Amino acid sequence: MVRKSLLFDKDECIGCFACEVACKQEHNIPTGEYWIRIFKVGPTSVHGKLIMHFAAIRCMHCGIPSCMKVCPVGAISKRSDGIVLFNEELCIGCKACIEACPFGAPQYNSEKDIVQACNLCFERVDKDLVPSCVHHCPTNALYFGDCNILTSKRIGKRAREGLNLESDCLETRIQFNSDKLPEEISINSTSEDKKTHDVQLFQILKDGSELKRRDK
Amino acid sequence: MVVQSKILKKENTDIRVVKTFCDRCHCECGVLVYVQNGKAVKIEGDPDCPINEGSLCPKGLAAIRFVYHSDRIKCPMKRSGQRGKGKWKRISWDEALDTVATRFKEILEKYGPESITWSWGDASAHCHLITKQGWLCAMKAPNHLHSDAHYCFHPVMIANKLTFGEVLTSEGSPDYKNSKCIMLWGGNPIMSHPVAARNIMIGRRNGAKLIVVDPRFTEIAAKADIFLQPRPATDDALALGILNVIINEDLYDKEFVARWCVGFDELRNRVQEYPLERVSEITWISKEKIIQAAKMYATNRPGTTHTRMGTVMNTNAIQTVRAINIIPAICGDLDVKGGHIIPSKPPGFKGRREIMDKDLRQSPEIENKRIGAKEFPLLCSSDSLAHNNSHPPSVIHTMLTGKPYPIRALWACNNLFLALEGAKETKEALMSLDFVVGSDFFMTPTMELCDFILPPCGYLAREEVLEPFCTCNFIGARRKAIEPEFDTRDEREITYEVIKRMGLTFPTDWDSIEKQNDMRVKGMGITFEEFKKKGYIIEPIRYKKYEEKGFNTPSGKVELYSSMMKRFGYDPLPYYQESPETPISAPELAQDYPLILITGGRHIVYFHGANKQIPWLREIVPYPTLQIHPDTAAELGIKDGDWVWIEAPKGRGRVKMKAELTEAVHPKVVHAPSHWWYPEIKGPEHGCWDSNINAILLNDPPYDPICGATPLRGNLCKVYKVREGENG
Repeated sequence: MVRKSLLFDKDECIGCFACEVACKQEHNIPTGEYWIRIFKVGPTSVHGKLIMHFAAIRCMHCGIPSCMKVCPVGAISKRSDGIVLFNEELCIGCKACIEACPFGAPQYNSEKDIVQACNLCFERVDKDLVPSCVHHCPTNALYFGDCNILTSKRIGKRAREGLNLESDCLETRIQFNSDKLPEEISINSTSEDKKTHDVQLFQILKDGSELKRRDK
Repeated sequence: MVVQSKILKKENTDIRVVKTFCDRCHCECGVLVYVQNGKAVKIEGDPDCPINEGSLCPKGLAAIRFVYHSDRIKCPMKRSGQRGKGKWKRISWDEALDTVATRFKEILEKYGPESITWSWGDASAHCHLITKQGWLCAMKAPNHLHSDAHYCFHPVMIANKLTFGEVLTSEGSPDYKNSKCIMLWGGNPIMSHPVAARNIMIGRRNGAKLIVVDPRFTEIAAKADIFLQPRPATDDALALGILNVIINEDLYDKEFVARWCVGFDELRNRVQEYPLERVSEITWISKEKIIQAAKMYATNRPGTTHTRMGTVMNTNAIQTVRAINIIPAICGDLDVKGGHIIPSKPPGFKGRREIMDKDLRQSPEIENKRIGAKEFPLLCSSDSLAHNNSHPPSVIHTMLTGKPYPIRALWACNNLFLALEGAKETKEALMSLDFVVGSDFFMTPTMELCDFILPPCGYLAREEVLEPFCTCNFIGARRKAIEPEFDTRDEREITYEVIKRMGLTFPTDWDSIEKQNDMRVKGMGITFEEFKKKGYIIEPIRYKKYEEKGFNTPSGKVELYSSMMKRFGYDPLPYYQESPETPISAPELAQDYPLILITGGRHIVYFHGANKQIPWLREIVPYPTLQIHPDTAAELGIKDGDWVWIEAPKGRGRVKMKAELTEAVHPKVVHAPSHWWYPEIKGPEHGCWDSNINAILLNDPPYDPICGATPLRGNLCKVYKVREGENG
């Protein structure tokens, strides 16, 4: 089986919210609940230069999902292709998974009294389609496909521009069937400017649930 | 893009997929509409459409929640109480159309054709623009209250036509994907024109340098190689400074200038008046940065220079856009791959502009009666370069004063109070009219003031020809996915019916929707039905077309020194002029009102005043936010998320918004978004005075001398916290 992977490229993300609303439509998600969410980092002045980035936070479909470990009723499972699924029938709404997740990904649905999260549009994926957020992303900041092809494709592009893919753009890569936790996969930096910034991004990844978008 | 080989069509075989085009903004992306039992159930981006290649913005995606929204105006209505009291009664289409036609006819006979006008808005597609223009022609009525005629697309069009004879610096023309340097000026296409933003990002990925000029550090500025943050409303000086560098350092395209431009020596003399020390002092941008940007642009050829609303919402609009236009002109970036393409449509196709500029013109006697024709001939008269518009602020004044003639009736197809500066006066003007008809999707504050409402259907129920704003040489066919929602009708049908019931004859032979659609493509030797089967047609791009016939200007060349402007008594060369209400032009006022206010920045989830009632979108931007620098906010004791008053000088009043502390703006500058109203607040006003920035901006002079633009970006204000329990 081809190992599939989803890549988020913060350099290409323009913060347009298409992924958020595409997800809402695909899964009919009520307001206040987000299976994928755009956070703005900055603008902030780094060595006299303004910098701003976006991070798309969602279930990372971790190699060893900490949510799965704490679920008392076994409602969370991991498919052989790596997709983590929340079973609505089994969930008792105890929110233990929300506490356990380092990304703030699981979302409590008060109407149904259950917790839900990104299922990577598995119904689409099973039909060889890409998830809705990826389909609607205008800049290909969200990329879905064969992990190896994706990586080499991206590296090729970046290499021409003199950038190092591994350190420059893979900060929230989801890798199925990986033994590593996302934290271990993600952050690196090349220059001082980027370092300050990436540390912030990393903080968001870790405390996603606590980061407030304006007026929320 | 991961290639989409299949369309999601679950096991339900009763689902039909209709390929059509979105119209929730002017980008008009290709969409797939999933229809089940006659109802639209899902809207996706069409992967086969070259405009968007499957992507779709939040507005387009949330359109599924717009179509059957419970607050839609569902049937024709007539007011049952006093005007503006919010009491309505359902009536039949026949009764509505008959009464509306009779009332218009009475006013036409009593006050003459000048007394009736209409306002175009987002509820009406471009096809309605030509239908309503036909209505005006049938009445011999000159006035169209196109509420942004003086400061949105039209000034860019006028400045472009004066310089190049074509529209070249707005969305469709710049060839972003192949450009080597993209200079964006006074706009954030990520929020305003998603398709342009997408193309810019593709260009950037292909190696283009990006220069962004904006008083705000926007989403697109975050992607820029160089970000220039000028003092608001000094873009004219900055452009002249950049020209100074390009000309004095010999970085321009000498061959192109010698062969295809007129007035270069005069321009060279003019830019000497703008040495970089002076420009730097005016604009707050360092000399080094101006040089860096000028060199980056001139040495990465071909480049594109995109001008948007930030450059035209001031009293030196046309000269500002002209100054910016001249940058790509002298660099030779016109009609070349990666530069500014002169658009062309498939041969035989009847374009919207051709219809407005040629087919639906009236006699000069009628056109020169248009409000603004005398004051702003290049906008409003029979010599106009942006045909068939009245000067909006003057129309509002005329409604109230009756001078030079009475205007007594309006067909409002937009949310005028939110869209037009001088909102309070606009409301007063509407209330003073004898008759107001409305056509809109929701009960907006403007619709609440109408006598009758004739509700239009949404885009899913329409069939028409479209010319997307951001895609060069593209024409498409919108297909009908559903029958009109509720008891609504295609707005063109409504207009044709009113014309008929008024006893008037449509001025051309395309007097029905079917005939109109056929007329657009007839010259191409096909019917609309055949065009619909194709879906869209792209005319192949040809370069350097000017080598065949020259440019469409009086001299046949690019007019750096404009002969038209000279003829009309304007300065033929661009210059800098300080805006009327800044710390420099009004220092005394600035003592009490120390902050510079810019207004009207967009957000992608809204399109002008639309979409505030769609929860999926509203939760992304639930409140209007005033962008203010953290240092300034700290001095004023304002914390992030506090409600604050924005007060304008000279008794213009105040509105409130939530403070967003951000380094995106200079400490002396604040930014307020426009078009804010609250559909959830009870009518008839729906909170339209709480946060509507247009309520504290004036529609009085001074205007731009050429297009009549008002100063909306770069005025003075003060900001302070809203106290508990305090109301506007």
